[in-house]
Amino acid sequence: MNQLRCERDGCSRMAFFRSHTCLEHSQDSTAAATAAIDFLLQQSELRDLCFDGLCMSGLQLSGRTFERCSLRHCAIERCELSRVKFNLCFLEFARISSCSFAHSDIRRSVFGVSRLSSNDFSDCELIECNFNGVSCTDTCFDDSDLLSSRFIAADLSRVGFRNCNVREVHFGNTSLASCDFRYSNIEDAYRQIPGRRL
Amino acid sequence: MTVYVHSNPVFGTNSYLLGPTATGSAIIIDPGSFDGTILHRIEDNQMHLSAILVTKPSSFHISGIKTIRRIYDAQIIAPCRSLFSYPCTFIGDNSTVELDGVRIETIAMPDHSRESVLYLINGALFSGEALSAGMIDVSASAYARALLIETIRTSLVALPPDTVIFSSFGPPTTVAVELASSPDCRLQPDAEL
Repeated sequence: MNQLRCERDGCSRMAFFRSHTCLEHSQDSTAAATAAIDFLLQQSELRDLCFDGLCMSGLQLSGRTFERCSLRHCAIERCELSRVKFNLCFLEFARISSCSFAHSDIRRSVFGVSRLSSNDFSDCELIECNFNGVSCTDTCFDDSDLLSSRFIAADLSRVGFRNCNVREVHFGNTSLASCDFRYSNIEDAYRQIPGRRL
Repeated sequence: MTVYVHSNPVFGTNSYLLGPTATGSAIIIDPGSFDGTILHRIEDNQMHLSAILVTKPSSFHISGIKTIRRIYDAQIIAPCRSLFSYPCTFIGDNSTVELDGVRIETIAMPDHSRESVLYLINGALFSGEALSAGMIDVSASAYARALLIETIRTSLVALPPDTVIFSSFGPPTTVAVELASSPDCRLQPDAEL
């Protein structure tokens, strides 16, 4: 992972893609963001890059491979991310809406405390992913393998988990409203609140 | 330096391989097992395993040590004096070790176990069993648990929010996510970090 830090005094954030500062402290943040989006569109494999705070809307990013990338605090809207590969990527505090991640392979990635709305994660491999503290509405995880992922202290509303593998998935302190677990192996998931049933 | 995650099929725990260092060597953390996958990872990247770090000397984290020592003359760094009759470099609270140009800092977790440490390496925290995403490990008593929560929270607050936490169990997490969402460690219910 790129460990360069923002050069601005008192700022501890990571330096943005091809920059010495974070996006907020960039002299021309619009140009920096445009360069990052151009790079994202051109490259099929992205490794050890920092795109923190980037706003992405309507991008076609299907089939990309993201490895050890940081997308913290990003706003990702109406993007096509089907068949992407994420490994050890960090998307915490992101706002992700109306995106398709269908048929993706996402491993050991962190979505913690993000806001997810109207996304499609159907038929995905979501192995050891961290969704702790997310606010997730109208999202579909149907037919996905969620092995060892965690949704601790999450707020899930109208979320579909039909025909999923939820073995060793943690739903402790999770608010579940109108969530559908039909045909999933819920007996293999962890539910830490006594009396609460999935 | 890259972190490679290896899931141990026997115990379901995570081991971490770090490398290459400035001298081309690698460090392994909590080798609950050591199999061909890790060996190929080391050899294919032309690394040499120079050190084994142990967060807690329980079988989940050390069962691969004997195999490793048959292949590599790796130094063992642990919060104890010996493992399987191999001498260890003892590491305690707030210690710092320089290994092949890599700075390794420790944070002891005496409320979790007398022999439990966390390693801070290159901006990543290797938390062992003591802390994993959204959870802390079980303690002997409610008092010990309260102390452990306080020790962990104090340790996390001192770190940059984007510090990645790699634990023995489950997915990775970050300091910011733990302080904002963990039922045990969070600062405020709606903390914005």
